[in-house]
Amino acid sequence: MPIKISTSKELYSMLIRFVNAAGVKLEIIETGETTPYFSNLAGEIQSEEVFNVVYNGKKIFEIRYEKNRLSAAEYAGSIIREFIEKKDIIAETLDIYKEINLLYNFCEKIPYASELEEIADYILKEAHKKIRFDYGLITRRTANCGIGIICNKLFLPESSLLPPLMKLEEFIFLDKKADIINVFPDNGQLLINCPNSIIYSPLEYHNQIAGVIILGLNSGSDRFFTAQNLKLLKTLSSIFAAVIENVGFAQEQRNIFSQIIYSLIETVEKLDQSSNGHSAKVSELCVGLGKSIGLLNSQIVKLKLAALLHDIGKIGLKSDDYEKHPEFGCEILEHLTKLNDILPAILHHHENYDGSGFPSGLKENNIPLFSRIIAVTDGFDQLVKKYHCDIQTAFEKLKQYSRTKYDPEIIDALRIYLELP
Amino acid sequence: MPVILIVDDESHIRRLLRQSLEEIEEAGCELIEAENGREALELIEKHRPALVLLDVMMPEMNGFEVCHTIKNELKANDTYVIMLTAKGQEIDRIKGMECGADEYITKPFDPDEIVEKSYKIIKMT
Repeated sequence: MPIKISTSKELYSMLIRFVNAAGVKLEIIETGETTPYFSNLAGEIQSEEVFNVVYNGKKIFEIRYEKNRLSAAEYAGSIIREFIEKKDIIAETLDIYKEINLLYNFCEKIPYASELEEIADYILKEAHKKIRFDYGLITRRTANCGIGIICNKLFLPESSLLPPLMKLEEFIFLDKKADIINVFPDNGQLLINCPNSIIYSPLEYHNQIAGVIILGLNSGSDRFFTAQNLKLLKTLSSIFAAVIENVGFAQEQRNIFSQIIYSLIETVEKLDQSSNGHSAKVSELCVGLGKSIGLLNSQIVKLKLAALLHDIGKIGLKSDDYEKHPEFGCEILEHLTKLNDILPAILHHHENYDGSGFPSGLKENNIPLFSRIIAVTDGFDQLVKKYHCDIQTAFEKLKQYSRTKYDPEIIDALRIYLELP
Repeated sequence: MPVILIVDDESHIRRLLRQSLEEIEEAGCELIEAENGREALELIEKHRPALVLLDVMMPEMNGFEVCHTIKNELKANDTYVIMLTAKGQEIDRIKGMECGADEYITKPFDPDEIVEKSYKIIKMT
């Protein structure tokens, strides 16, 4: 790495200390400079003796010295060389320091990001600090949706570059390797308008390519990407690929869970064709009621699930044990640990406000709130569906059982929700 | 000529900071170093630096005490103090120590961030 030394006071003072201690006269000139960096030769002494200081194969300084003082010049040369070497090592350390810092920030950030776009954006921003690319592009490939492009608008490639970049993307997707392209082949097979320099990496996780990252420099740029840039990009790509995988898993898990729930509901409804849509209607009413009495969103989600599944226990019923269905329901659902906290709501949805219900004979506020809500909405939908009552009549009938069967407050909440007088 | 003081007990960290700030030095800023709190306070009184990059974890006198002395006893309110804290230390709690520091940067520091901030502070951008 070329370093201009002429401004360093530190080296200067080291050299002064040396010449004073050794009692020598030297003149030290940096390559390319006309005025000496250091001199105590005091003009009048004309010295023809020259020692060249060479570093990494290049002459960086020349030292003129008095006759017979070659060893002093050599020693001064070694001071300079060691100084420059030290500078190089520090510069290198600093560079690595920057990279570590980037990775630290990146790894810290990732657990908090839930959106892929957000992480992709962050990758480009952080990588830009270190790699200084002109444009960047991340593609995302999914089995059913094809190729998507995630771009930060700060680093958007020119629109004329997009088609060749997408061609390159296709190539990377098949090739599955990260690489640097600094010189494009003349025949232009890969890219038509050749950009100057490009690094790319597939987003690979367990042999699956989830997408591609491409970073490029504009043509005309005097810079090129380095192997170190590529290594950093590869590391970022692997982390990102793992994140994509994780986000995918989480999504899949949620999907499977809701599929299970809907299969269970379907099972209940198939048992009794007349109850068709009953669970869905009860849950719809519960959500409305829950909102109107000010439940939190997280509670409403649970209430909705409990309402959808409240009659699941009917699967196991024989003709004479109707009262067992809340317990059966709990027994069926307890295998889904995610549903554990809605089991009480299901178990007690046939409790009555005055304590005359089943299975436990709970009274008033001892009955879980969700069960009291489900009891009211369950009763209401039955009146509408089974007995073909209109809303007003159904509500009036229900109201007759306020305080005996139903919680009066929930009855009132239902009235407000239904916008009845 | 604006002066920037680097205070850290570890010489290699001072080295890295100095190297990070090289371009600022070339732009005409003087960089000085201290390896402990006492030395730092002497240099601050003498040079009145525009910026102090101050490590928190130092033996004898820690960064908080140094900062507190800068701001309260030396009344060097035009000296901008950036504290360098270890990653993982909770910045909020450290801020709660009310030593009067102007800013906090975590170690390992981001060299670009240091340069950017320093430029702003010594208004040479």
